[in-house]
Amino acid sequence: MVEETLVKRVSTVLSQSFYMIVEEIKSIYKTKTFVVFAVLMFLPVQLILVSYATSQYPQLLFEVEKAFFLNGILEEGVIDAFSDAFASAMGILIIRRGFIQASLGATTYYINIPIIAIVTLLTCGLVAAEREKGTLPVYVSKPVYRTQLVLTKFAAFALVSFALTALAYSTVYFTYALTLLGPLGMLFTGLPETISMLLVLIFFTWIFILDIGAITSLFSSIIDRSILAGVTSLIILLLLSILPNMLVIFAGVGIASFTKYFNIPDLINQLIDFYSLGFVEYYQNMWLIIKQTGFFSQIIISRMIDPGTALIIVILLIVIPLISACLITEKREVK
Amino acid sequence: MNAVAIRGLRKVFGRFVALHEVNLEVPEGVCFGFLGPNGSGKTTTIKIILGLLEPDGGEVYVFGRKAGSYEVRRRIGYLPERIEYHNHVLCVDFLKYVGILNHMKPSKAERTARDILVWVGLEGWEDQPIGTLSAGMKQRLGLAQALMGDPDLIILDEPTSNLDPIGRKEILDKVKELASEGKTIFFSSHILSEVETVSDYVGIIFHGRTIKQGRLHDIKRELIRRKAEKYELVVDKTSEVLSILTEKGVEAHVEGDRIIMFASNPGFLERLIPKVLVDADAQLMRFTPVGDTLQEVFLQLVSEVSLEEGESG
Repeated sequence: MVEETLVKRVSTVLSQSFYMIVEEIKSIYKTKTFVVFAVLMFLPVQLILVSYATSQYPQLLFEVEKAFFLNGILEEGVIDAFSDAFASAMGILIIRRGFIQASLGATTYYINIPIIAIVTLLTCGLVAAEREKGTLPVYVSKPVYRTQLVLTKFAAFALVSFALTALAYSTVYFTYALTLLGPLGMLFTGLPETISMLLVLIFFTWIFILDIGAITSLFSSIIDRSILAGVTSLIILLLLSILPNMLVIFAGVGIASFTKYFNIPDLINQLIDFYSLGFVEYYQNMWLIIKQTGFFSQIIISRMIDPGTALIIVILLIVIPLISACLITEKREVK
Repeated sequence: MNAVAIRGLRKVFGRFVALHEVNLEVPEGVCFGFLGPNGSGKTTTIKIILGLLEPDGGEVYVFGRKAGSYEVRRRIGYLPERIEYHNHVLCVDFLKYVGILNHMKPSKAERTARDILVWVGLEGWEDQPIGTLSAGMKQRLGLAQALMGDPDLIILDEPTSNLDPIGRKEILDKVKELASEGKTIFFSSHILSEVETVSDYVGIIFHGRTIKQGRLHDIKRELIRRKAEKYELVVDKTSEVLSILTEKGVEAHVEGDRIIMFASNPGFLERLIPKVLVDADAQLMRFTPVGDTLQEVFLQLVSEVSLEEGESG
């Protein structure tokens, strides 16, 4: 046997990994779980159409139309009105004329339990299912690194979920534009204000999905049964997103200064608000909210985290579980 | 060079000693039958050869390199004892993925996959989901994946378990065909008759110890020598024949309706018995050496080991 050079080995591993990702993607979209994931991701589109049909937001429509007719098509006010209406519909924290607009919107749905549950279900088999099925011994007895198996599977999941998130949000975005403003509203869809908002939403929702996926992958590499890995991960993720708020209510506001670092949905929501509104508007809004909410402002303040730290945490929550999953899979015996 | 060389292998799971001491040498180009009853440590040994489990003692070399190393894994094909598949994956896609794991380009992997599927007799099933295959077909698919990447050493862990006789024969025929092509095959089984039909080399493992290994031919010869020591005789006049035999100095006793005899040298009883029958005017019903199948000798070997263990323990 001739020893291959390091360069040759690296190029082999890279091209092999690329082919593995392609095959993995082809395999993912045939699974039932993926179909459910896709349905859940596109569910808001249906909901918008339903709520439009039943006129759930005449107020917003009124605001936009008023601005539209008063100011003419390319006036600043129309753009602001649409951008506000869109932000509000997406669940971004906005304030208009000194009042908090309802921040129940698309993010309320996406950064929430249904997506946590389905992503957990989608990734719980990453390593565990291969162990369960007995295909892992076959794979790892081939000239491939176990880290490669974990990372290519995760990469395939990441790519597929990015495509799905981008597609779902874009559809939601255009559906909103259409239902809020009619065919004329489509003229506003390309504006930098709303497009940047859309990109921020897609990016952080994707990061949220990757967080869930990476944490579940870690459990998948520790626990041999995929369902058990999924349930464990789901329980821990739900506790992480519910417990901090409950603790604040029962154990006092002080505890939130510690627990806020682990509340993934809250971190993501804050990041979305910050990056879609920008520094000035975000803190202006926060200040107004704190001023208006009285007692509850304490809770809001205690849960606030600076966006830089939040960004580092949500990125680390992908990287650390993933590296751990690789190391564990490398070290664990395949029985 | 030996394809596989194992010296003093030991493996412990918690407090359970799975392998006490395994020594094996598998020459290149032979079909090696790895025999042992269930739970004797066959699968554990195989998993250590593949690098799936870490040994707790001893040395394992495959093609002169440490077992489980990257270079070694290029040259091994493996069919596990128990494998289920992702049912939604197409046969050809599964093999293609295994091919990619073996450093093949996707286009070449797919071509090879289709060829191998035809060879194992799954023609027409290439583009079907694995879930639609029968148990026998799945096992053939397993054999097919073990052949992806043209490995020099093919390790088959109980490839015929859970198969009906027809499925068994199909797999064994394919293994024979591979063996005739000069591949090194490491074939584990607890069914001796199967090993006899395909293997030229065997190793016998029991309670985590290799108790015998070598050419099947040599082992058989040894067994024939052993079995020549013990005979059984069935006649109509048992007591009369027995008394004549004891008179002639033959060590014999009755077990049920049979007379069990021990010969001091080979061929002695074969010449004596006809005379005894004439003397006793008895009718011969059966006269055979005891332990004429590999199975019985295997059981004998195993019982000897158990006795030794019992004494030492």
